Amino acid sequence: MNYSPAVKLENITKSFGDFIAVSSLTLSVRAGRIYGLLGPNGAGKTTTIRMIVNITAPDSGRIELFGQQITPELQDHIGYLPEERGLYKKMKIGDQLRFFAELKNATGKAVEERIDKWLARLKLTEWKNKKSMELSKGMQQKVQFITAILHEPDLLILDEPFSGLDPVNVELLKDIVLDLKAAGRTIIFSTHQMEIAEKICDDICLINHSRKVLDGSLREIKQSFGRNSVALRIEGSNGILNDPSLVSKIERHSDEIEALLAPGANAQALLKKLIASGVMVSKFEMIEPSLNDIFIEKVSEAE
Amino acid sequence: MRKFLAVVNRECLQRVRTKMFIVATILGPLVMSLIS
Repeated sequence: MNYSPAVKLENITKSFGDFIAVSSLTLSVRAGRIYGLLGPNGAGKTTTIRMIVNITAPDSGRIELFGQQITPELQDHIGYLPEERGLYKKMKIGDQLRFFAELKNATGKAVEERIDKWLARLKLTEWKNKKSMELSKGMQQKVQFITAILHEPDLLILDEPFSGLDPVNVELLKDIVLDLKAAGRTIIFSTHQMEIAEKICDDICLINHSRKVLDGSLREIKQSFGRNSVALRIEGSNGILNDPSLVSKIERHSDEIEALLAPGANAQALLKKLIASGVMVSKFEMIEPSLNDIFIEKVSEAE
Repeated sequence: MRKFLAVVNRECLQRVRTKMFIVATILGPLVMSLIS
């Protein structure tokens, strides 16, 4: 199926008692792209996702999936990895996967083949006949990820899919998500880990305190924020970097310094002054603001 | 309906496969016959 947009939210509001979890949220997820729903804990990401998959209904506003309002049939086209993991502890992994696929109307030999394929890809083949209570938390998370993709959904929604995984498994999952995108699937995922979002998202929506702070294509957002930071590796006194007319903020990393240029300051002028001061410059690179920087800037602007 | 039956099937199997269920199924009638 190829619909555009895959998901559309119009002016969605959801409150729990006096607490407003999501406030007037409008967003559009283009088909065949990876959409990151980003924000700190408690921003409203999970509530938004729950409304998209029809677990809770919004107080007001409209949600469309593939150009229509959600129906139970449409739900079969969604794969959902919830934030709170939940497998049947005493059920064998193979049986569990078969059961979840059946709940999405996927049965038969094709499903059996897919179960074996995904277990192998996620390095879980030898655990197929084990009960999920015998698996580590990370392994259980990978099994639950398989339950979300086994019925080959057009729309995949992953709530904090990378939390609690080791770096090897994060890479593994990331590769699979990118492969699924290449196969034409639409993927929405939420995270508060900006570094991961930065690597795989095509489009993003930043949410803070129940409101949208910023959305659009990651590339365009980064471009609009301009290249205003310099990554530096220098030997010698770095007194020049303390000049507020050149540098407004410095951040020290293990072996380099990230310097945010002061408004109106010029990177060339900074480099000239550094060299003139006798400092040995082994690295001087203009860098784009990280998603984390953009987020912090937008959030502090709003507050 | 198919999904409903899948859930019923899973829930039944989970209960029927427990050791307690098997033991009670065998011993239950035995104990009953001994009492009566």
